[in-house]
Amino acid sequence: MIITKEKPLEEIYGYISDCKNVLFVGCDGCTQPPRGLKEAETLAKLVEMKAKMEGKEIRCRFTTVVKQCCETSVGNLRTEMEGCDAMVSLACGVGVQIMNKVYPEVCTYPAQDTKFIGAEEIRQGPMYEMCLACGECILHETGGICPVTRCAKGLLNGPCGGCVDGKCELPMEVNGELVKNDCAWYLIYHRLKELGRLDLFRKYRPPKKRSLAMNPRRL
Amino acid sequence: MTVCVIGGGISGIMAALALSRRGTETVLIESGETLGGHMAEIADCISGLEPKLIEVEADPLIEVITGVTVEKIDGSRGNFTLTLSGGRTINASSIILATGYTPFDPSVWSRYHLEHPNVYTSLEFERVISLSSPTGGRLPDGIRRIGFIQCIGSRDPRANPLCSSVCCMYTANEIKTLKARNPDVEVYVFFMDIRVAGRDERTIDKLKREGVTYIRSRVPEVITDDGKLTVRYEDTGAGELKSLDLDAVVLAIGLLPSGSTRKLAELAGLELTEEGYIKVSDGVRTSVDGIYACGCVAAPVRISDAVVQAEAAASLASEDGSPPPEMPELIEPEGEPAIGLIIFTDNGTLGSYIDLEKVREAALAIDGVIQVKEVPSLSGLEAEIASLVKDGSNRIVVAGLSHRKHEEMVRDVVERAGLNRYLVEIANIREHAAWVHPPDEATRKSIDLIRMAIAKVREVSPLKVELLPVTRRALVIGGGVAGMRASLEIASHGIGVYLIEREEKLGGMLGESNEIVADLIKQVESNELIQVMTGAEIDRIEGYIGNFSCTIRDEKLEAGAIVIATGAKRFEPAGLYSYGDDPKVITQAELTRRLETGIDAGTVAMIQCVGSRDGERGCSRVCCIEAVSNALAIKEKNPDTEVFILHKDIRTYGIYEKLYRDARSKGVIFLRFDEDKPPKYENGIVTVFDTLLGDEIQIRPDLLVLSTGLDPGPVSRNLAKVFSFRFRLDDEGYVLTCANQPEIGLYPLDTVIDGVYVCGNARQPALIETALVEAIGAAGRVLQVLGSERIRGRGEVAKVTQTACIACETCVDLCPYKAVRMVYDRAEVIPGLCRGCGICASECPAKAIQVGGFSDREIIAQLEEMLGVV
Amino acid sequence: MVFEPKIVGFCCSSCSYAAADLAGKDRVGYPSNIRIIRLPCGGKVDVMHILRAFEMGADGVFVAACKDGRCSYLDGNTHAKRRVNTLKDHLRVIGLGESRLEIFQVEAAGVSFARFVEEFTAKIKELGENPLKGR
Repeated sequence: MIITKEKPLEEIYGYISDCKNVLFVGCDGCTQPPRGLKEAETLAKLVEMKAKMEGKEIRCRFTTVVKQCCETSVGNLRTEMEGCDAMVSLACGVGVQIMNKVYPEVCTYPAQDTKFIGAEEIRQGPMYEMCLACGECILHETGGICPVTRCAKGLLNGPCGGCVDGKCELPMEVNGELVKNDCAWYLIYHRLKELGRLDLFRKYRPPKKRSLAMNPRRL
Repeated sequence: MTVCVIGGGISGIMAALALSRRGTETVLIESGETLGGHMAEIADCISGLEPKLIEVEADPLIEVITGVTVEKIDGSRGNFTLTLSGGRTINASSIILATGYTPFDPSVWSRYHLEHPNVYTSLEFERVISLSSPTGGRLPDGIRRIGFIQCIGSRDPRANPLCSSVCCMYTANEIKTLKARNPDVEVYVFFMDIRVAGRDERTIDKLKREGVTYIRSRVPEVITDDGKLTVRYEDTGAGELKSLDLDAVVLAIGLLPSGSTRKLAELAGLELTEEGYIKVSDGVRTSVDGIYACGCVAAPVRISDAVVQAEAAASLASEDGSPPPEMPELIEPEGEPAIGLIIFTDNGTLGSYIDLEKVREAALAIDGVIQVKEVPSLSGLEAEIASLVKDGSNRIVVAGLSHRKHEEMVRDVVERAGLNRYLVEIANIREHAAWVHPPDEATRKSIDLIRMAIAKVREVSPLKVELLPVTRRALVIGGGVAGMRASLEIASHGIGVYLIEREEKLGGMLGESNEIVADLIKQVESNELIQVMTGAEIDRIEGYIGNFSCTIRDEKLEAGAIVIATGAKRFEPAGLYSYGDDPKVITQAELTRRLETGIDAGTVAMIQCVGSRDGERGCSRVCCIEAVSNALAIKEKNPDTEVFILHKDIRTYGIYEKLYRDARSKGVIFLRFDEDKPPKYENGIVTVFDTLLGDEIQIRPDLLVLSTGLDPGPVSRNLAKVFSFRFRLDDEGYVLTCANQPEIGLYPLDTVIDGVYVCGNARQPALIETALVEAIGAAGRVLQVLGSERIRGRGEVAKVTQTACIACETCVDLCPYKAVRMVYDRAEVIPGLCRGCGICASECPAKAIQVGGFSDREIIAQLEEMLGVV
Repeated sequence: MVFEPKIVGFCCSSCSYAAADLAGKDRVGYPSNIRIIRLPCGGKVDVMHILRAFEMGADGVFVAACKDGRCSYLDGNTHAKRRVNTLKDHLRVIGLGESRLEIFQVEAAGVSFARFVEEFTAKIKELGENPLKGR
């Protein structure tokens, strides 16, 4: 699923601090956690209160749509958005763009930073990136573990020499702490061994066709 | 026919409540003026006890008679006649004795100087460190060093030869509380053996790490010199006498049989033990048929054990024939909210804290209030509420009571008056206002609280109480002693049982060679109501109270309640002390079996705590008693056999202390080793560092017996996987019960899921006797559920507005009870599993969930009223 | 006139409500500024309810839940803690200040409840009136 992270409240407030009537639009779709009605309401209330604190009045309304990446679905907001001079979308980057496309007369601002395609291990736990959408899936050869995403160097024929005790030599900063990720190729080796398919490990994988990942892609 | 419970302490109360839940009329007799017994003296226990006191008083099937004693008992099972002081007679089919204990009075011995102001008994000390003491739990000035002396009036032939079971732990709890409120105080504990088990062991370890000094020594006296306190003790490590100056001393007093127990035993002709306790079999049966005993009358026990016995005694005494609960129709109140307000004046005393006239005036001015009535006592509530409803009130607010204590009672009354039980709200103007604020502030706050309650009750909609059909059959998992006993108890009340056993044969850990087991197997197999399934592996259990279903291979079994009696495995000592390689090394369980035919050994050595108390696993509770009884059995057959028991502490709780005493007098030699210096076994020689001698001892045994502990992990972890709902284990793998929660701690056989109960080794290490009592108790809990065709669900549960659900499954993940499931892509709450905590409601991204009684509307209404934005 | 703050206390039905009850039973006094709204569990506390309380002019809000490991609903108190801590950040950004909101994990004892209410009331008095009041 798509992983997004709330932008700091100050930042969102900054986009719309001069507006008078703002509609906050949630999205029930594929983000985790879903940024639906509840989050839209909370954010609307927070912005409204911050404005009041500054002696301003911003009328903040909120609503949600089934999926903001769908033009039809977003189109249903027509009556609700009447009269607002800005909208804030709680959806992923796709939703924000669709909102702007369907309603070109007002600006829709993002309330989320769209991070990556990934998953969480436990509810409300840390999120892990799992897929880069490279367009050329090789998971059938790598025991279901994606080296393109999960190897820091994106090696197709790993591991490199920097794998120490199953961890990657390149530390990553997570919440101010340096964390060592698992070496993807270490995981792949053990998984293939478990599956009895170490023959796949020997296979040479030629470089990917970059053209498949050329932006923007379309189907 | 009535059952008579004598003794209004916690055991008696819980027995009476259990009886009433089975539909049995009960008379509860207490010689004192109030119920509650010694539990009411323990500060930390009050909050758990209070709701039970209200419950028992309000129960229509229980008659409470206080301030009377029993003067005469005639008749026999099914037809007892009790004559009370004052002349009243009561006919009862059975009698339950719950007359508790008398705390030992150390003032009979001058050598402990109880007259000194800084020498306390443990019960007195409860008050000193209680937050409700005048000092708020702070010690009097000048007390910096405090000594706790254990076994005062316990394990002492001059006072009470038995171990009182509870003192080691209550001392630890007192120290915990003391340290929390007086962090700088130095604490010393003088003890003989520390006798705690399971999780409690960790409490003591933690205290030791935090700097509490435990000194193994019996302190014979307290010396007072110019008002200063000194104790002398023997430092067993250094082998010398030492003395320690203290500022205060706490005497951990033991539990003795109460005087009334003896008197009642005489009246009813019950056999007593030599120590003056009631002699029991099966844990709760006295020598007279139809008279049962629970709590401290048969032996000193902890509260949790006492209430287990209470459940068991109540089950055995129950007269089945409970009427099914009547279910009123869901009546929507007609028209606008018309609110009737009742002010409970607490016998007129409330008026001295707040200005009732002002409150009344203010209340009458509130929109929607049509009547205000004052009620002086709880007994008047019923009539007043009925008259309010008759006069047109369709919602009720009761001011002056507490939700915690009175909510269920008030709801029952409202229901009897013909309103939906959720159309009532309480405004706690007594505890939350009158008693804690100066009069004018309290009056103002009371008015606010009443306004808030009215605002809430205006928004309340009647909640439907689901009537859950009950499958009147029980599922018992585990065919060991506990499982078989539970099945028999359930079947004896005419309810069918599925008894599931994984192994090919019944018998469990003990095996069918054991006499008790063999007898139980015979009874179970000949009982037509019990369907035994051996070699049966459970695939899945789903459902909720009253409606469980259990899948075994292709078969689906339906049951209304479940007893978990999966027991535990013995720890496998493979590789330890050459077990498996050296034929001379056997386990205690193997020794028990061999003793049936007799052993041939000149010297036997036993090592305790093999696989217990090793940091990973706790105390297994049963091994010391097994070892000591086996040692006695060896000595009995051949007094010349030398028996050594190598131990860390000898834990012969309660009446089992007798075994320990006997063993020592018969020449069994006990050697204590330190935790960090365990014995070694090499070339047929056991080497142990004896702490008393301060030297190494070598023994060349013909048999080396390893007392291995219990390990429930593999069995219960496996079991946890088959449940569709949340099923919790503690970190050792025992089934987690509700015992750690103050309100439900009084149901130690209940798991976190309604309708699922646990007994025997699956719950905690238990001796056969204990396991049998637990089994009967758990069966009693089951029968309370299966007594009628239908059971009332909870009204205050979560409800999903399905059209708003976005199928994100947040609620499914968050629910602590796995009470939400997805049906056709929409969340749905399983009413029998939901407990109404509301975690899902406040997290639902789509705002699709509301909890009955705590909906957004109700909460916002209260906020608006309070903050004056209406 | 002396500033008398209005304080909302969302209390769970187990330890927290019991603590308030026991304060009454033991006659341990505390400032009368608080009004308790009872919830089944700390885990029921809703971010929106807290925000609405501040919006309507509450000067302080506290959430009382059981101590760690003692929640009757297994882990409702940890949810309460998480929500309150996130919201505190937001309140700081808004300008209301994070100290107006507090989570209090209570043992079922009257004195500790009274002490907390005393301290919290004093703190709110120091912070002064909710600047949103009347706006």
